[in-house]
Amino acid sequence: MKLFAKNLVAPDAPYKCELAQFEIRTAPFLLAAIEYRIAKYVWTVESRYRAEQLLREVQLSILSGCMQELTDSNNRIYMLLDQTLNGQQYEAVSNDPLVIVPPIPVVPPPTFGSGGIIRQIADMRSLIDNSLNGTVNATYIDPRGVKQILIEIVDKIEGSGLTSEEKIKLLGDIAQIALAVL
Amino acid sequence: MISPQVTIQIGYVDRDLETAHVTTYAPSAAALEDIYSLAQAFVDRIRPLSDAKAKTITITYKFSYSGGSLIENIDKNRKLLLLARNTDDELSAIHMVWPRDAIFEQTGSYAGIRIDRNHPDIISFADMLSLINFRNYDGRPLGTNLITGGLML
Repeated sequence: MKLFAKNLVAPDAPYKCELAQFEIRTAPFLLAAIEYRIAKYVWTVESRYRAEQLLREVQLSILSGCMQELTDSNNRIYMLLDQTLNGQQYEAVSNDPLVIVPPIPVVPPPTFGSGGIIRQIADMRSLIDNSLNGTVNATYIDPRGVKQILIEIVDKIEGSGLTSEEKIKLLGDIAQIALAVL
Repeated sequence: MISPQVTIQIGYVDRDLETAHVTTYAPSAAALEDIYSLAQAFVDRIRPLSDAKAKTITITYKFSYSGGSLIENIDKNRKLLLLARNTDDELSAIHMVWPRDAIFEQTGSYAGIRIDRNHPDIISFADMLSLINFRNYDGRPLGTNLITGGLML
């Protein structure tokens, strides 16, 4: 009994992909089985090379080429989000083979880098809290908030002995200075 | 370098597709064109003697090499399939026999099955592909990018 047919014609394009499930420990047997079918005598002369390319792609998939691409794309998305949100910088120290440092952690780190959105939002929140309320934090340490400064200004004006017109003019000047600063 | 043994083999096929070969040898110092001319001369002289059709002329340079050493206690025939991709996105295969355990991934699901692309010997092999213009059986570039490899059983 002849095990393989001969003079087969390789399937025509267009080609569509499908993921198949297999037990990884069977990979060596699958690779060898496909290798036998790549033999030149199995195919017509015209389609021999196309058949080989199609079957080699299957072998590549068995060696995780397909799933590897999926997991790599997941990793790239993770690194994009990690850099944007957490400020973690990644660097490719080698392209062949591809080595990216640092490796993706099992859980995100508890601290955020300065370039990340989360850190920047926290900074802005700290700035506003410090500016308005005088709350001292790790970045902004002036204990006088805007409210306190305004109270101090009003108190000093009240105790200055100025006339009402002079007080109004002084407040107008302060407002103009504040607007210029802002 | 040791002089090779140059073999000329002329393949014949008859009307029933039975095949036969005529084999002779040539001096290793001869130019390839001269060796091929010698083979064609053989074909011309044999033609009046046979109704079979000459189909192939195979010229083989055979070197004897004694490098390397065998590892004992191998109890099964294993092969390694290496896949390389060329600039036209075509895949080519390189076969090796008796792959060493050390060149495979040591951990994970593919441990012992897939080559470890970070292994220094694999890296050295991949570097060689980019330095030499290897060709596959129909003359296409073999490929300079070693993608992956796996055990074949």
